[in-house]
Amino acid sequence: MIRLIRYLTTGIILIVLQTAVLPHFLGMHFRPDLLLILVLYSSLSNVSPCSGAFYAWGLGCLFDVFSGTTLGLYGIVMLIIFCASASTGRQFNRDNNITMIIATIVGTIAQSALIAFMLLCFANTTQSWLPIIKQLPTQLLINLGTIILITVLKQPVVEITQQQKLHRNQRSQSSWG
Amino acid sequence: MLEFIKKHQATILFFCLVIGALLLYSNSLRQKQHTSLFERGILQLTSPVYQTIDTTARSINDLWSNYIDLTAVRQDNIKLHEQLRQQGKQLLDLQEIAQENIRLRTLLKFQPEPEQHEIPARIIAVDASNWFRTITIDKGTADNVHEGSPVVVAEGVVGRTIKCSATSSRVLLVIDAASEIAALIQHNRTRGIARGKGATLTFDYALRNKDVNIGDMVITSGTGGVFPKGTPIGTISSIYKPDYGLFQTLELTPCVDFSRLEEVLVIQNEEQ
Repeated sequence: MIRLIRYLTTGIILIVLQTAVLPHFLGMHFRPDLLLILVLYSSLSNVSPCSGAFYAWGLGCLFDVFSGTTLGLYGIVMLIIFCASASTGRQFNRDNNITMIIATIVGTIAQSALIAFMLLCFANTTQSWLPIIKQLPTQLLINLGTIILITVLKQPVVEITQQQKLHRNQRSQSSWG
Repeated sequence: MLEFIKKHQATILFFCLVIGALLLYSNSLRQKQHTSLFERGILQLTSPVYQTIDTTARSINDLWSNYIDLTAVRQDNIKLHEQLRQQGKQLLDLQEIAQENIRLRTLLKFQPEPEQHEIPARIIAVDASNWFRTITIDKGTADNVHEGSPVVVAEGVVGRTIKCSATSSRVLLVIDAASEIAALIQHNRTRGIARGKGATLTFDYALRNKDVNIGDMVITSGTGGVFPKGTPIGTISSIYKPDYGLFQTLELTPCVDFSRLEEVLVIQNEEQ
């Protein structure tokens, strides 16, 4: 339950960032898809696949409240992306940064394709998928840039955490000795 | 059987979730015009956050632009005086036409246009994704804004409200691919449908034999029941006449610059 609340809160913070803060700096059409990155991260982390699928769906539905006209579109798209990423991610080394970069590239393409497909199959607007396909290359570059930036910024934090863990282990070993 | 379920537990759960998500989506498609409790709750919950961010951003922006504006204030003043002089004359001409219009309407016993009340609103957020075109405004059902209310600015049509909570509402912009407006070309009254295309609009179902030119103004026809008649939508920027067929397709450049929108007016009908 605490984890669900934590995920939803993170999701809301990222959506607020994406809808109200980033447009002031990056304009309306050049914003990274932070929620997709969060879903991809959770799919490649140690979250259990079953609860992770629920979180992905919940986050997608949350995104729908602030995007488009229909509730549930991003919900189903995020759910499918999570399922695909969680099941194929097991074949790769999840600690390698390249895995996340590849996941972002494939995830962005899959997201655009799935939204276009859903709109084409279910919605009654015939033109809807066109802007999505046109925007895809730009979106791909922006998401890729964002994930590289996150990876670079994350590196020192990871190193510090690892060092602290090592120190703690050494201390506990010496106290036992 | 139980063993099979245990073995494929995750797959079955994913499958059930996908079916559930699909059902929710298809149900939402049918009830597009209504705001669900979930949407209302989330919009309501995040509204104060958005308003705080918006107020902070505006104050910082005002502070900066006030400083920048000072540097060019004299040139602007001269330019604006000249504009004011020219527009004063235009205003006199328009007042004369308005008086004449009132006289002719009385003469022809035309029904007066229904009273429209306008609610000013500030834009506090834009669409979360980069491909849909919606905005969030700081007025909701508490201010008598309901789903389907037209939203305009002085330059023309902005869109219509689609989801409303007590203190905020989401507006579908006319340039969104899901937006359709009954429209007509101002000079020859050719009727058609203005559809959003992401950044521009298209004007469909304009009869092929109608004479249209680049730069012609397209306005709302008032027949859709949402927008008042005569509000500008955009100007024709390109004309596509296929080799055969009944209609021609026109591309429109919207009158409103959506990237610079800050305040809008929500129009209330008499019944609301």
